[in-house]
Amino acid sequence: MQKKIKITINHKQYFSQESQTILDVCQANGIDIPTLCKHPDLVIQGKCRICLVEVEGQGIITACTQTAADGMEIKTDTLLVKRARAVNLEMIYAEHIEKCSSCIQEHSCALKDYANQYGLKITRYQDRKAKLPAWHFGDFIQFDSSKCIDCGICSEVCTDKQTCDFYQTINKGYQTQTKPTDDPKKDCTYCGQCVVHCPVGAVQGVPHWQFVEELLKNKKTSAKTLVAQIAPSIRVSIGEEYNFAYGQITSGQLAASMRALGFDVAFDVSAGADFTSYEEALELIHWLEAKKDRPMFTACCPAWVKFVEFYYPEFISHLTTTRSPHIHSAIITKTYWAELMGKKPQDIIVVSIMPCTAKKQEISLTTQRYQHLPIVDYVVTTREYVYLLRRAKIDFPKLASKELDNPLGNSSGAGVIYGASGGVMESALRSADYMLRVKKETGSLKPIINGENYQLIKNRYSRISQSRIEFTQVRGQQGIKEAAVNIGGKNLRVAIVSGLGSARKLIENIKAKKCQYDYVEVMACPGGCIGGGGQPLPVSAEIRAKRAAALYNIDQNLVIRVAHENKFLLTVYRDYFKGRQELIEQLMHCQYNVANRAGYKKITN
Amino acid sequence: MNKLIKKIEAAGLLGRGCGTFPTAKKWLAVLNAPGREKYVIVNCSESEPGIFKDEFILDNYPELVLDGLKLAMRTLNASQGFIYLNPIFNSRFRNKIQILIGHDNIEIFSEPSKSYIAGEESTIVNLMEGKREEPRFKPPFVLEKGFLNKPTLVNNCETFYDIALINQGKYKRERFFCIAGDNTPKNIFKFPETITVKQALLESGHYPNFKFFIQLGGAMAGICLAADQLDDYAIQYYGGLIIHELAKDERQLVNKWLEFYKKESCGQCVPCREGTYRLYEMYNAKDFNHQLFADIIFAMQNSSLCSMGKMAATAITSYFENIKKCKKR
Repeated sequence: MQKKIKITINHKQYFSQESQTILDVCQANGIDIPTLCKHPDLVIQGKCRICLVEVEGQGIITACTQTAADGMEIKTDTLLVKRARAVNLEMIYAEHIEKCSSCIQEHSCALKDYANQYGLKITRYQDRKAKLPAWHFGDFIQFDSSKCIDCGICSEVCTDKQTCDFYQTINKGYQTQTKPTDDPKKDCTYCGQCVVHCPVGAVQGVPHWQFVEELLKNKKTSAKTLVAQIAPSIRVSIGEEYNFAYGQITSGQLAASMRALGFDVAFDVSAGADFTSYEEALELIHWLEAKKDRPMFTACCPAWVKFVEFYYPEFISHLTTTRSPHIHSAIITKTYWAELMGKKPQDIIVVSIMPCTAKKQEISLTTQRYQHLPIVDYVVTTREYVYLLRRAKIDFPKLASKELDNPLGNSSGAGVIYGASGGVMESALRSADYMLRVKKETGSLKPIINGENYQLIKNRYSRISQSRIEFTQVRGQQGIKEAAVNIGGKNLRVAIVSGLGSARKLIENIKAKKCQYDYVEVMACPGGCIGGGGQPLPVSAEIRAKRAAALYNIDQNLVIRVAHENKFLLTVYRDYFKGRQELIEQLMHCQYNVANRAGYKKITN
Repeated sequence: MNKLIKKIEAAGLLGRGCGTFPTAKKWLAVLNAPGREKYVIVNCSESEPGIFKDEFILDNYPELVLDGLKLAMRTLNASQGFIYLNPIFNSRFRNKIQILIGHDNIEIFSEPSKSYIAGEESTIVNLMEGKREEPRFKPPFVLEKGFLNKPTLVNNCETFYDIALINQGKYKRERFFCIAGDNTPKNIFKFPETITVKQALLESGHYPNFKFFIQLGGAMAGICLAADQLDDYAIQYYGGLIIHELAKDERQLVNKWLEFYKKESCGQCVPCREGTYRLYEMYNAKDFNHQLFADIIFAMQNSSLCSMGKMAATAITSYFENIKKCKKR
């Protein structure tokens, strides 16, 4: 057990654990210390030198690097501390070219906050990075190095957490520069973890908000129908942008905000997720029966797919061909719903509001097209969406809740938990268990493909109605979780992975035959989409856990918790797909290709 | 306590790099650090301009340095020893040292570029691990978590030379001392470490016959002292001194120091990376802001990650404090 120690901070006594740093202790006790380069997800950088404190006998030191010791006397706000802190912060300001008016993080800017809090001058020195370039990674991540404060966090998260190592630091002294790597063996997966960890907004998804704003502005003169759809996880995170409690559920306000912005229709990607679960469960059953090479990997996460396509192409054949949820809801919108409404697919614009930057890449792929049209037209991140709302002067917290629109506004609980690591797996297992029971009782999967609802038809003594809902062993925030599950009498060995570093470890273990699985879910971001690259800032393990808990809460409180009971889904299978395998294949599945390095390009500032 | 460490302690040996940490204490810390694998590194970076004692030792007494290293490895039960040579030393002394290594598990390590920060012990460890050339924040110190995160002893070249002498009972509390500078031939002496700087100048016969000031400790990190301050400093903590003509142009001198640190900063931490840049910029700007200049130096001295950032303004501040007034006389 760790020893408890007693320390004095600003003349008051505090208890702490022996391994805690001074910064940890101060943060745990609500004592203000500024910091930019210490992120709770990451190791200590010790570079920004603003978390300064004065320790009796040691002088001024950084609180992030020093562990608290028994009897230590610490002062956090002496004149000397303030003097050094002010100098360092003002020199940091001179590194960061302020482009506040066009910055989507203007309202959550640590630099601005500290300037106000400590009465500092942002323009004390002449900016020195004005001529530094911006970089585009593919067309999906943009890194403006004229805003970079050289804290090293992006490299750290990309190298040590995601193992993609796409950033490099060149030169030294004031000429130190962080830039994308030239190593041909490395490429960006667009996961956006650098984006959600950068303390100064230097990295962002390549913006789509301006296109969306333009569309909304020209709405009256255009024949296009504008459809917005929200990802499962953002309903429990977007509130953070408005200082709501972590994990507060805001689906109603989201629906109202989409309408207030001028979208014609507000759909839910969770409905698409039900289609994903349904198709993926079917595919899993076929996979198991066809005795194909194990494991089958999920492919909802485009950063993970790119990771496989680039780093491990030999595993492409292991990816489920089932498309991802927002693609599914969008393709149903542009086909079934379009027909229903008497519209042409080309007259519908679908905008996905996502916790993700990699989705920007996914929608650009030629494999994600329908009749040569993009299935999803634009992807805005949660932060971009909030920026749109702010520009339109829509006061999100004051909006009265509305319902999402039918038919793609209702989903099962399974569709909602997609936002958390383990959610895709659990949703697919729920349906796969049911489907296997149906098959056992009826001898075939035909009723499934035809969209029949056996759950309702069968009496409650049937084994079908006893199909399992909760698979709690696949939940949780760890990088790699393993479980043995039983579905429809079959024992499966499954793994749930979040974070690309964990994914690489798992694949290497599979290659070395150190482990064997039947079905593996992988999400590129820690904790799954709730920790995604398009989420509000800040993030930490604690925040991610609260977001995930809220999603499971929604699921718990819904009457329909499994994809195969989503009435709209069954309608589409019954009335639209009509068992036509080719059509299902065309709309619901896709292929993957070996990825060449997309690298980066330089955009002059 | 181990016999040799006891002897080192009794000899009062301080590290002969610029840290002047008590050697016996360092050895004990490594000895007592948990872990089976331990490493010993001889630091022959000698990156301070105007100091050339390690070069002299490697040229004349390499066998004593090796002797000291082997003693350290045995005493600390180290799994491997390394000799870090700057690129110039590497080309001059590598073969000679290689022969002296014999069958011991000692490796010579060198990097093609010669940079100032490579003299810092955790930077050497980073370089050996193939990482970026920059210091690590401390704690943890390399003596607990050094090369490959194992306890590591890094001592200066001269320290190992002294240890060999201590072991042989020949150590006489003397140190090498370099003298160089304006109108002065480059020369090296061995003096009792307790003599003052003035005595060193007199005994070496290099006491200038012109108006001068000196920089004690090297041409970049050294502290500037006026002629009347030379009795106040013993040579114990310094590897040498530079003699400057008092009439030297201040702007040229200060700019040389500022440019050097601006160029040599590793770029890792804000006060050093930005401070060295801003100081140079401000010093050469039309409206020189004294207060801001002092504030930046304060932040560098008190919040830099490594001692290089902390020392980067020593020459300038001591010049302004000690020398400027002499010029007016």
